Amino acid sequence: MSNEPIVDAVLSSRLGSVVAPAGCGKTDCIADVVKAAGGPAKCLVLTHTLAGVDSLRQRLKEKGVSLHRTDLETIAGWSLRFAAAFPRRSGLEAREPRGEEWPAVYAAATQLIRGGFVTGVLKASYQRVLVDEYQDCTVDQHALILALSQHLPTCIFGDPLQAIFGFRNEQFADWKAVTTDFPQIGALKEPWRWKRVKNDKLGCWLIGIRDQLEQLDRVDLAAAPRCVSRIIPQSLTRQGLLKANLSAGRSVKLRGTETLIVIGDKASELIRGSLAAKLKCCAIEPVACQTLASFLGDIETCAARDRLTAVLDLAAGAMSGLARTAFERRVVRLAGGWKPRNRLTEAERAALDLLASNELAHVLSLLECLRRQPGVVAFRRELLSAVQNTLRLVVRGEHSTLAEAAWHVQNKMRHAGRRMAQRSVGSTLLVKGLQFDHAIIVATEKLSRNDLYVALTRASRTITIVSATPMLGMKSAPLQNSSKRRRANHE
Amino acid sequence: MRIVHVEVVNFRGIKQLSWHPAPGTNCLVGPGDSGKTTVLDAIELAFAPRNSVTFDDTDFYAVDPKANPIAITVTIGGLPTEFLKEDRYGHYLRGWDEAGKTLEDEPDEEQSGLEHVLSLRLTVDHSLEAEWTLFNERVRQGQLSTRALAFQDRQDIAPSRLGPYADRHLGWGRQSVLNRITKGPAASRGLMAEAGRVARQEFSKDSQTLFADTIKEAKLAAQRLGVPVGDRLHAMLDVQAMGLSGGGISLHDGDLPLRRLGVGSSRLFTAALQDYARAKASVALIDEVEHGLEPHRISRLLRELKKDKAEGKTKAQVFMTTHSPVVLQELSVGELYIVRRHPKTGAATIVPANTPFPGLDVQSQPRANPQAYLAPAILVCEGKTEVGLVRGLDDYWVSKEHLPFSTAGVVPVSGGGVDKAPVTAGYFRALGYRVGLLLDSDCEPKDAKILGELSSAGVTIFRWAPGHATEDHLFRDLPTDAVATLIKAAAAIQESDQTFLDRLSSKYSKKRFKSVAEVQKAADDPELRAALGDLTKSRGKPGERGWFKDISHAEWIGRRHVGPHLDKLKGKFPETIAEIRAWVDREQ
Repeated sequence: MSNEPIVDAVLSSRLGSVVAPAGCGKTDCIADVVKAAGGPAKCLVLTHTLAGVDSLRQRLKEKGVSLHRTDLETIAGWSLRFAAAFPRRSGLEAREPRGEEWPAVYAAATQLIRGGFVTGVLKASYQRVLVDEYQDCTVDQHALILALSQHLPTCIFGDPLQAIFGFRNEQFADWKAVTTDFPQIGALKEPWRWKRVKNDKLGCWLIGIRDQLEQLDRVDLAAAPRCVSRIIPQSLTRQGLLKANLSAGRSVKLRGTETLIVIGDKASELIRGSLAAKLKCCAIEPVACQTLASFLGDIETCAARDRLTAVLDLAAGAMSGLARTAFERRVVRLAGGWKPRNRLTEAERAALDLLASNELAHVLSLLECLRRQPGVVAFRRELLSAVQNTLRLVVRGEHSTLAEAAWHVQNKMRHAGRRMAQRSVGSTLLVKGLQFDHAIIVATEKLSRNDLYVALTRASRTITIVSATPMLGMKSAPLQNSSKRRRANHE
Repeated sequence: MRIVHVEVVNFRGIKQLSWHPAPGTNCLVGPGDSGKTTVLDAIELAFAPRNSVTFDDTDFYAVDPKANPIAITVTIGGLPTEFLKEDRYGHYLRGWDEAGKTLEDEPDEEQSGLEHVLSLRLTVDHSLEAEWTLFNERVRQGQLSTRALAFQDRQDIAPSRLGPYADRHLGWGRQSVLNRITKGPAASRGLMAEAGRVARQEFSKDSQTLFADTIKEAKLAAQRLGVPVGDRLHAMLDVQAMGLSGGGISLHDGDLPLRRLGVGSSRLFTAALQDYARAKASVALIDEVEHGLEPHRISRLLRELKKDKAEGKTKAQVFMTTHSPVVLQELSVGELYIVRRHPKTGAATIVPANTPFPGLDVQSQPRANPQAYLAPAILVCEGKTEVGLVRGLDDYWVSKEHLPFSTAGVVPVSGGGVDKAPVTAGYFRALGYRVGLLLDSDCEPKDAKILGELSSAGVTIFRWAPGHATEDHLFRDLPTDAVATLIKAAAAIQESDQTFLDRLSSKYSKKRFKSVAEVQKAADDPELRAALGDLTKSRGKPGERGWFKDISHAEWIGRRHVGPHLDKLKGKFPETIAEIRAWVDREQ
């Protein structure tokens, strides 16, 4: 692919932005810029997630660009590194920041750079700054990049249509404001992701719908190519929708190692969990998963019978085939002194131990035993692993509190990245940036304009949409430039 | 690169030292054992390549490694740009305020104009394991991980040292300057291998004939016992066994190895070579810069070192030690630093000689009194007469087996008059020297408070009897025969005896003398003596010669006339002389 004109534009501008629609080779383009920039000073390449860092690193390697040519980092990691190296100048306090403390890290790094304390270091170290996924920048991060751009040529890459926000109280940089600071110097237009699988029609259609989305906040499926199909629910009752979802699941046939993503309601982990169970998929979980947090909070404050209920609630929400009601009734009778004819299962013994003792080890072993039972399928695999790993760290005495252990487990997951199942369920927030062969989009009425665009651009082969109407996005979506936008976190 | 701060803790004789050297020449002077060489060693070690140095217990202060771990911290500025890179040492930078001579732990170039600096720290504890790291408060508090300068970087900026003997630099041995010029050790090794090959080839040409007899015998012996040796048995150079290492190859002029040059020449030559190698490492350490060099070559070398460098090179920052007044006279006062070490606490200080002192032109001091800087104690005398007198007394005392002033570490210097001598004394006192001040009592310094101030600053002040100049005492107090000799000597200094008699008559009206001999005969007349004293100390009219206003005459008087009569003299004159003697003997 030829990115030459864009690469030239980036290298010859001091400040600039490049609009990069999904699947148009943004990572590739950044790698080309780095390659063309040459040496000896490095390019500073910043992005938001560790996964983003990985994919950029991979692409640079493929292009034979020496990794010594770049400093490839998350904005968070880079800010912390610099702010922590000069704590008196930056005013940084938290050296191991957690969720709410991150804005202070960005502010510290901004103060350090704006104050000119490290200008010499920046100029000696870097020739230019490239920032990926700029639509995900918070106001704090934008201020940091602006400060950097005072000293170094800076180009940002992003797509306002892919800005998706979760539920945390963070303010996001407004794209219009961003492009005043960084004037647009180019846009990527070739849908490479689809061209690669000879599905040019879908790729072109997805480029085509951008105008309509940006101006009218909607997409008309009538003009879509044949690989986009619609399942019409017979009724809008829960039952009717569920049936439609199931038939959508059945309609997609995977060949070989092809992957499927089911994109569901982004508001509820639980609804997605049950969808995963019904469609025989695995749920993709946010790293800082709410169910995990509330479960850990619950079992810390209760014991015996209440604790058993909490554990079984969690298990039932994460695994199918448990026969939970029967199991719980039997365990309660056993605890009451009832002597059964057949031998106790290991799960039952673990449950009895849990009732008898406050040790967290019994919670862990009950979950492990339940998961081992024949016929049990874990559809919230990531959640279960996170719970078990957290408990294990506390049981082994590596951390004293569950909250502490959970933070470490989550941190490790961020670094390790996730292993995707062949069939997954997720939300637009969780799947943005990921690529699949096939997609099923349910609950379209809950998707905002940007959610819709992200959902539609995940699959390269087929898209199946459960919707009563061919005109998606009729529900009024929150305006792009509303000042209080929210998103989950550094997923 | 240049050094902005040196801190030494527990290294050899120095318990503690903190010093801000100047960008250009830093010449360290001070009495023996004050730690000059220790400072140079400390700087060199801070950049030393790992594994090339070993430490033993005597390197620790008070030879007590347990109680006194060594820490040498050298802060460097003028950093190569690549050092600023964040993946090199960028995060370890500190900020240096050159005007205020203060170090901030974190840089601030834009707002406060601080210079980017790095602190290199060498620590050695009682395990004798040395560790070289970059130091700052963030590292100390564990906020930054420990990092050291990479080997190559340290090699690049390490100061070059010109020791007393420079022979090794004239060969290709390890660490030699020739090796540095030869584009690094790798290139050198390649050359050595090639040289070995050439040597073997050359050798084989003549070895057949040279060793023919021996080889024949060896062959026969082998055949006798049936050892299978072929016809190709011959003598060949075993390069490894011969030790054809870098050190074995050296510069020659014709057939003469250059290391046979005199000490001075080989040092000069080496200095020239080091200059060539000093593109990045613009710091030089020179021990006893005058060693082996005649005065004119000293000034040539110093001028070379102080020269502004051509493009691509910075002006060198030179650290040197000296014991030579010639070197001092070649330097400006701003380039001189006085090293002092408290013998009991081991606390060392380095004071710039250009520390201003009110009323004194310090710029002139290195030229006027170079030897003063080199001694531990200074006796500042009002003028040359007093210097001569004191020196003469010293000679006399030495003949009576007293301790010479030089052994006691005392140097008499001329203060240049009643007003200048006190400020000169005050200046040297402020630099940390032990100072005595010998002042005439015929007139008082204009600054009435200065003697009190000097006294409380620790200057010991010696005065004659009220109203008396040295000359007054000489003519009034010495025995008659000694005065008679002085009269003859005074006359001999004048153009003719008549000039002497004319001048005398202007002061002495009681009698008109016809000859010098007549004056000598009247030598016990107190009025004549007073008049002679007056005449001697007065400067006379322009064109007239002073009488004993030069060192050699006064020296002669001290040695021949004052010394031998000290026992018989009475009054303030011998008392003050005894005080001076006691002051000299008091501390050594």
